[in-house]
This record gives sequence, C-alpha cells and structure tokens, in this order.
Amino acid sequence: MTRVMLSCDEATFLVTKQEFEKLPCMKRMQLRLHLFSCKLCRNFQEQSQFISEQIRILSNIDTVDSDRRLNEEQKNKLSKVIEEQVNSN
Amino acid sequence: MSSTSDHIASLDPKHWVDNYGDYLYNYAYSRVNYSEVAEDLVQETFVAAWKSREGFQGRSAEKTWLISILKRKIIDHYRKASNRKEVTASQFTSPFEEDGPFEGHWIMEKAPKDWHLQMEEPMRQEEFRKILADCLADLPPKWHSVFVLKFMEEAKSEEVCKELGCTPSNLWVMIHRAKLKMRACIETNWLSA
Repeated sequence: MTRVMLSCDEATFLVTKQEFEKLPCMKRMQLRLHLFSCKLCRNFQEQSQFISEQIRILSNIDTVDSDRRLNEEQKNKLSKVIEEQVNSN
Repeated sequence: MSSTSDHIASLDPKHWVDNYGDYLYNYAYSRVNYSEVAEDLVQETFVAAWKSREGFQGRSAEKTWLISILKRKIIDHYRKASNRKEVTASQFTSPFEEDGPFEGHWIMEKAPKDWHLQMEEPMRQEEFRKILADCLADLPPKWHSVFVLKFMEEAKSEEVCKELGCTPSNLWVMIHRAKLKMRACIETNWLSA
C-alpha cells in the first residue's frame, strides 16, 4: 500500500522526472493533487522548469564568450600538435 | 559518387585551430568547467580527428564531425571523473525534514521562495545566466556529468547509466538532488544579489 498523499520530497522528485518521462497514471494524479495543495512545490516546479530551459539555452549559445577563447599561446600549441600529426603520416 | 580520399582531401587541418578552436574550446569549457581540461580535450579531439580521418565521410560538415569527436572525448572524461569521486555528505544537505511528523516536507527556511519579481526583470536574466553557470560548475563531479548529459546533450537515461555506471533509479535520485542543489544555489546568489 502506498500513501495517497506524497511528501514534498517525493513530489519534487516526480516533478524533475516528469520533465523527461511520462509518469504512470497513479503517480501523475498523486502529483497533481500534491501540487494543487502545496504552494512551495508549485514554486519548485516553476523554478525547475525555468532552470532546465535556461540550461538548454546556455548549451545552444553558438557565440563564443570572450572569456572562453583560446589565447595565442594555446592556439600555437594546438597548431603545432596538429602539424606534427599531419607530417608524421 | 566521390571517394574517401576526396573527403579526406576536403579536410583542412592547417586551419582547424583558427576555424574551430574557439568554438570547440567554448563548447568543452561550458561542459567541463576547467580551462585546462577543456584545452586538453580540444587537443585530443584534433589528434583523434586526424588519426580517424578515413572515417570522415563528407556527409556532415567538418565542424559537425569535429564536435561529434569532442562529445565522445567529454563523455570519456566524465567516465574517468565519476569513477574517482563519490558525493560526500558535506556537498549536499537535504532541504526536507528527515524525521518527525513533517518527514519529507520542506524545511521552512530551505523552501523555494517566490522568484516572480526576478524572473520578470530582463536585466536580472543576464545575471541569472552567470549564476546558473557558476552553480552548475559547483555541482559534485558525478552529478555535474549526469546533469550536462541529461539537460544539455539530452542523452537517454540508459546511455547515461551505461557510460557512468549507475542504475536508472540511482540516476533519478542524482538528478533530483542536483536540481535541488542548483535551485538552492541560484536562490541564494540571485535573490540576494
């Protein structure tokens, strides 16, 4: 027998999982019931989705951050390594 | 139909660093958090690319091909890192009551606050991205790997488990805890800023 009311720990676990996978029917209903009555977990859900969305944006940014560029020294080193590879065969 | 040697001839290793160096480095840096590691991964990528140039079919662009090799290198790096370190108790404290009548419920001072004011302010979103990146970098190594693979690479759970050696249920526990930790980290740094 599982309890009908989820704890906040369980509810936030399901919120996270639900972003990736469809939950079984019973779990989905339990989660809806919990979220309906728990403002704190609704905050969590909203923030969790916001974080996921922003991480996706972060990973798709095609422009290169100025502080994440290779410096000349690093570039020369890399070029040298490639040159050695190309010349060795 | 063009032959393999045509594809190889279309590769331009002399300009790889100028053409893709920064892009690959930035890509790696945002996923491994250490500039030295990112630099090593880029180097390994170029070397591996040249060694496996026969495998370049010309079906994808040079850049796409290099990125696919880099991705593989990043996963290898994660696997090595996740074998080394387990998450210690000091790196995560649960925001939920651990016993008593409210077991499993939010500990009041650790419960999610309202973010609406901050979320609606465009100026604060710039700031948010920086804090997000810092909080992501602050995760324990194994959680960080899992988080990047699931959220940034959108890898399947089975693949992540296969690479990092974990069970599916264990994976969700890690993701859940990582999310709780990220959320708390962002709240502390963003709302108080």
